[in-house]
Amino acid sequence: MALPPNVSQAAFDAALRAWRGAVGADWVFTRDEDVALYRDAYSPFWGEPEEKVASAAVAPQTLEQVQAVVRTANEHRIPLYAISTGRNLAYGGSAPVLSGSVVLDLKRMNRVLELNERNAYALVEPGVSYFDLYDAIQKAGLDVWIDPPDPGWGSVIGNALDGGGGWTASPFRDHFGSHCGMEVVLANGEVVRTGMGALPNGKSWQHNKWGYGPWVDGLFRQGNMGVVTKMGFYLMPRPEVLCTSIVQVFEQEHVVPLLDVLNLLENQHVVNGSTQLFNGAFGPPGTGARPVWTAQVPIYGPEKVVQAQMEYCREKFARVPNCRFTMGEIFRTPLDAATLGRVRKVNFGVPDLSTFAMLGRTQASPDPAGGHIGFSPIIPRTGEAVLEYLAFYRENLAQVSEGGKLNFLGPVFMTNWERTMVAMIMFPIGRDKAMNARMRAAFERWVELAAARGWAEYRAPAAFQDLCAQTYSFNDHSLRRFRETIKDAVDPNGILSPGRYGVWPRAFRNR
Amino acid sequence: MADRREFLQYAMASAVPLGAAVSLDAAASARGVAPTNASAIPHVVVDARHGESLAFGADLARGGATVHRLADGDATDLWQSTLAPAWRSAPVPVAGLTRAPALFILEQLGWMHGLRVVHHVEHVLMREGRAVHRVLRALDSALASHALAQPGPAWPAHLAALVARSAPDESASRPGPTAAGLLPTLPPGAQLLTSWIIAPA
Repeated sequence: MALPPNVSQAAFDAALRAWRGAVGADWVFTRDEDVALYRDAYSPFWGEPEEKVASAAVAPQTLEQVQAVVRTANEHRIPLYAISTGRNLAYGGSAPVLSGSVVLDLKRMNRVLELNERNAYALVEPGVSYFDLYDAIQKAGLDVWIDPPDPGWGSVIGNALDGGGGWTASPFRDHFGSHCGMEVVLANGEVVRTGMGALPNGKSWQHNKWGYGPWVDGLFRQGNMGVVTKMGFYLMPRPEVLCTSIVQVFEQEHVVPLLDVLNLLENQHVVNGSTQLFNGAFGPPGTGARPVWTAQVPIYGPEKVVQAQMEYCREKFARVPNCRFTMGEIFRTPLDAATLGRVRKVNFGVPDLSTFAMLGRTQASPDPAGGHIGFSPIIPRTGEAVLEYLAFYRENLAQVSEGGKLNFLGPVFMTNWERTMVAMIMFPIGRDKAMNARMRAAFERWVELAAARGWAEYRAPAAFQDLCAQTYSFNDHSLRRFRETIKDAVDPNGILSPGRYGVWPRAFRNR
Repeated sequence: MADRREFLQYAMASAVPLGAAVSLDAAASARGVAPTNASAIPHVVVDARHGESLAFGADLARGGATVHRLADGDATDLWQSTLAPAWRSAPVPVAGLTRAPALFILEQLGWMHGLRVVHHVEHVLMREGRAVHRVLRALDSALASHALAQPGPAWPAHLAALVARSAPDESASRPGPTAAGLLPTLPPGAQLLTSWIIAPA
């Protein structure tokens, strides 16, 4: 068993005794084979000395137990790394950013505390997965949808706090954006409720997210200022139908008017689904001449309204030169089992794990890539930005990929959020350490090259969170310094997830 | 992507003495391993895209196991409809011969129920038709190597016989995670199948 950094054996032993007393001996893990389960399954340092690993893990089941664990950690100055279900694969999984941290595993806190159909919200604990929430809604017979990411085995809270997104309608597919109210344990063990939750016996915690005074919820997104133990989420009333039409253009530069129209329709909230943009070979099968660009036009809503909205879309896309608009099938919900078997389930609010069987599969490579890490820069959602990013990618591909020897997958243009895109490039990670080292070097190069052009990641693997944080350097890193000031104030001993998303407490800042 | 050197390294890691091609019964008997029946592992998962996998499942079905076919490698429905309810009641063992992603997700889902991967063997299907096997973890590694040293296309049957003999023992040492999420480098045109047993440990 490894020791946490800067912690004596005596102090660690005392903490472990206290944690066993607080949560039960069965829920404090110190054996190597148990702690190893918290390794990042896609670690780009797998099996190398630099791999980020935990020293132990503790799994409380109640708010009071979380408070006790945190207080003990504070007393002995032991770094904790909080996870919900630990399935943030490709972005670090359940492994800590600071090796030797003790994983604070919240997956036993798995209660769906409230489901409300009339105002469409849920209140959940961190161990509730998208499958769990979906099952609870089904069992209760409620007419609301969740918005699962792909895959759906992760925590609803964890995905939102990591900045994840899903595949149904806006605004629900912005998972942090669609939350409403939090309960948080601070580093000193104190409990805070945000928004209307700060009102004793308040009646609108999951109805109004803003409350009164400065809004602090954002401190806990990709953050390390507290441990979130409850969180509310808006749910989507089941739409009557989903219709996904397809628009295609056949000249590279026609992506500019294509996205102008698509943006207009989205910003008008006429198109509310996840549009996605496919380039060339990455697109779905075309009909006839091969399109250069293909976009989805998904609309959720009442059938009569969707029909009219789709007709409006068709008229608007007629402005785009040589644009082919193909009306999509109308899917009336709820889907029967046969129909569900032929659609992408996550678009219908149904969690799924099929991405593992499909990810990275191409004609040339029928087996999925397995491990991977994602380079996920945000770019504006304009045709000019897309063309600039593609040109940038092609300019640098030969050099960064060692003349094509490194098989990146991408770029894939994802539109989980309005007004921007994630221009993702995926890097396969395998068991070949030398190849992984080359992939890491390539990842770092892309980060540097993209930052020089004004693009930076919205989310990063644990191994690269510092690197990506460094690119947000306006005014001599004033944002980072501001976050550090807050961190030092609310967590003076630096025990909560040190280093997460590049925010290091004073105790580890000059490590 | 693999060059000849990488391929040879992989093959050597899998090497089993040629003289080991004796019957599994004899090998097991010599090692004092009593035969068991397949009901010790009530659920078996196969990938319907691979004849080897289907043959493996058919052999175990004859011993009483329930065989679950994955049409496209996706284990979501199997987990939701069968394994999750079963594991909530009791952590029953499950075996499979699938592509790696099915093991990857079922291994992690099993952890929550006290289950671990106790058998993990990779089978590289070479472009020219033969298979190369690599025992990464087995209840009896020597017996596993013996079983898979049998030359020719009958290896799924030998593997099924091996799995049928495997009686997971909760008192055995508890293994850590596999590296199923990270694929080995394969020779050009090769495909990877993985055999596994997830059991209480």
